[in-house]
Amino acid sequence: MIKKYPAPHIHKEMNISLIYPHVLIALLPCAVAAVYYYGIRSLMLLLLGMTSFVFFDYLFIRFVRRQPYIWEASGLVSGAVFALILPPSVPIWALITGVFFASVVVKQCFGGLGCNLFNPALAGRAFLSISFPVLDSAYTEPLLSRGSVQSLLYGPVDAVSTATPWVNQKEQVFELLSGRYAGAIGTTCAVAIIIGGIYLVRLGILRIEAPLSYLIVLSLGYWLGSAGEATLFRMFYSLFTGGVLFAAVYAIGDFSTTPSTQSGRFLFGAGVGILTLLIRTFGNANYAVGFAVLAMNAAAPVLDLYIRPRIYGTSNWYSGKKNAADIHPEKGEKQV
Amino acid sequence: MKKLSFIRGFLPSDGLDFSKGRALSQERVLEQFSPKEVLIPMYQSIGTPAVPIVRPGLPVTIGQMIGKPTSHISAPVHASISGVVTAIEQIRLPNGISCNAVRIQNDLKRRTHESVQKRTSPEKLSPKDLRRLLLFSGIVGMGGEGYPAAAKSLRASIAGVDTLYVNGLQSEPYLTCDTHLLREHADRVIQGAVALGSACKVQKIVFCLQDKCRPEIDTISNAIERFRPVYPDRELSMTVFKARFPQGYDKLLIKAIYQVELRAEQSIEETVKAVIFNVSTCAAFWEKVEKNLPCTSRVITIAGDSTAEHNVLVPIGTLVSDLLDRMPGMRSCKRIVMGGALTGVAITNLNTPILKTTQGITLIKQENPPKASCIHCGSCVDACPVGILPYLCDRLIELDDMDALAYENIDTCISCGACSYACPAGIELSAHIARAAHKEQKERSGI
Repeated sequence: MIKKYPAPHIHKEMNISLIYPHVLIALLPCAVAAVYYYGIRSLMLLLLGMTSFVFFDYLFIRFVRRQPYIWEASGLVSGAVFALILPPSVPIWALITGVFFASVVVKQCFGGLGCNLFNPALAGRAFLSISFPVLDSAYTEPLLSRGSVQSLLYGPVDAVSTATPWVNQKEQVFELLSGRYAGAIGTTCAVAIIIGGIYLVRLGILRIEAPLSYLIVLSLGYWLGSAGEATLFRMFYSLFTGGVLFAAVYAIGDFSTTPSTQSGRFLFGAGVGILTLLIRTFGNANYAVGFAVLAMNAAAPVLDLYIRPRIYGTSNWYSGKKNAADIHPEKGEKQV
Repeated sequence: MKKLSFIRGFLPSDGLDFSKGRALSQERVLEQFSPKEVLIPMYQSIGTPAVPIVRPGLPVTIGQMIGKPTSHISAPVHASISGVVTAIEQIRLPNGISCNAVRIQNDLKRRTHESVQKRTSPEKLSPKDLRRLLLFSGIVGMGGEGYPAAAKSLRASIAGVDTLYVNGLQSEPYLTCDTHLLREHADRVIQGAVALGSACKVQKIVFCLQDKCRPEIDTISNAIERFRPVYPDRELSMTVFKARFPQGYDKLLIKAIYQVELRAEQSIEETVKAVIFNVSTCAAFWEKVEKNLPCTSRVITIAGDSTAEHNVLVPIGTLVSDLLDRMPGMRSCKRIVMGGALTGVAITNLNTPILKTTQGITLIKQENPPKASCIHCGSCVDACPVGILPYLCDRLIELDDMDALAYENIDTCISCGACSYACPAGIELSAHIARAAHKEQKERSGI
């Protein structure tokens, strides 16, 4: 049947019903690493986070906003990201509480998909971190009690949080890349995160500007902070720990909570980098990246307001764009 | 060679390259189409419509004037086939304007009007004669703009322009009629451009081509070499542009060439001393100069995502239904679009005639993506060639916040459709903004 539509009549293949499933696929390497290091418990946390996030979304839309629920996979993505940044021994009640906060308060109360001011997963994590600070000291060593059923409910039994002494630098680099050290469930394995990031960049879902400026500012900051004496390894270390890479790919590249213009995204990434440096140096280093991203999330609408592309045929403060008068001065003056 | 371009918009790798990197259609033979009847609308250009000067029952021949222009910005209309006028009726064009149209029954004899005959020395015509020919040829901007060529050349010669650009940048996907003309009828295009140049009193003529049309670039550069001795007092040259949507728009062309942006009230001729004509316009003008044949037919492309691509020479006024009868893949298409896939108008009534400004018919099979809410991804902002924030404008239109919208410069929008194309949520940004801009303009002119 021939119907009437407004132009244009063709569209880019990458639409919303494909974007979020692709992000889920990009999270797969991290999930595999998580299951490898922390066993079936991490798999359970992951699935629980995803399903409960969608469940709370559904409840809110259906019974509070009283609208028909339209399926979209963004809830699954937020739930998965949230589960992956938790410590492996997190109790189940804490996970559910965090998901409730992330879904209902952070996402749906602000208007649902695309309207949320803060990244739901990071805000939920920040909520847990402030309300239950004891969770932050519960990072456990990987590869312990992976298969025990008992750990499903109570967390890894022999929870010891000690830094393993590194023998030499080569081994350290290997551990940082593979993620075999105590940390959040899915944020330690740098290789998995980089694979996911490359996948998203290739598909055009992750825009490179913000993550790039973030990583550049962070490494520059370390180099300057040590008065130019930092070894390459120290800079490497600072980028690969504390969820910096994970945040760069899955939080700073997020759509709703970052500015919509290219230059805005550059500034956004740089801002997150500076705040991360400040919090890490002078404040609580444990959750520096998360708080930095949330703070810049709040600034994103302001960046959107002031950093905008120049309108064709006008000039703005940072571009002395020429008018037609520059070519034929005598003609231009007459018109003005 | 340096390639010119503007920023933003889409490079073909973004999915707008319908040929997916393959070579463009190299179809050599141009099929001449002869319909049973034609319906010639009187309103085919910007300005005032022409007035029909024939009545039902009168025999007409190819090239006979059947509509008289009514003002300076208006173009005459000629019979495109020989036969008998059967009716003069009111029709509604795809852009929503109603006008008179002359229906002509074809007698299949192809008799031409007595004025149509080969000119012996077309080179010797003076600029004044050429402008007179242009005025009586009924040629309008055939790239879709629809500005009468006579009025444009008059404006250009008054402004004292020094360069004529021949716009061969057909950036819309699927359409290749200009590319076809450049490749197969390079002589006609160049001679037509030189004649138009004389009418506008211009010495320098520049051909603008896209970098993806490799064979056409070769053809045109060879033809320019060949014609240099014929026109020693003219500077013929060629520039190559990066293939990028939306490249063909006048404003963006000027920006790519001169690095200058025109404000709404500035005209190209006045400010940068240049005039732009489409390839089809040049070719049509050479027909008039050489054979005294007015604008009665044009090359259109019939293509789409579900059919093969064809360039057909059709008389003006051919009905779409006649053309599509013989197209394979027509049954499976969801939409029939007059013009390109990004800016064309989807038609429901197949008895719509081909106009002088119709570049082609695009058959679309692809469905619109599912509608969702804006996820604030910024794809539309990255796509917009004039730098407005389409997602924000759409939001303000939805809220009906006209005061805030006044600061968003929606009157700059060129309705290229790039934002809607890029939107992953399937929001009709371009249509909404165009509607709001139209409304705003109406209100402003009302006060």
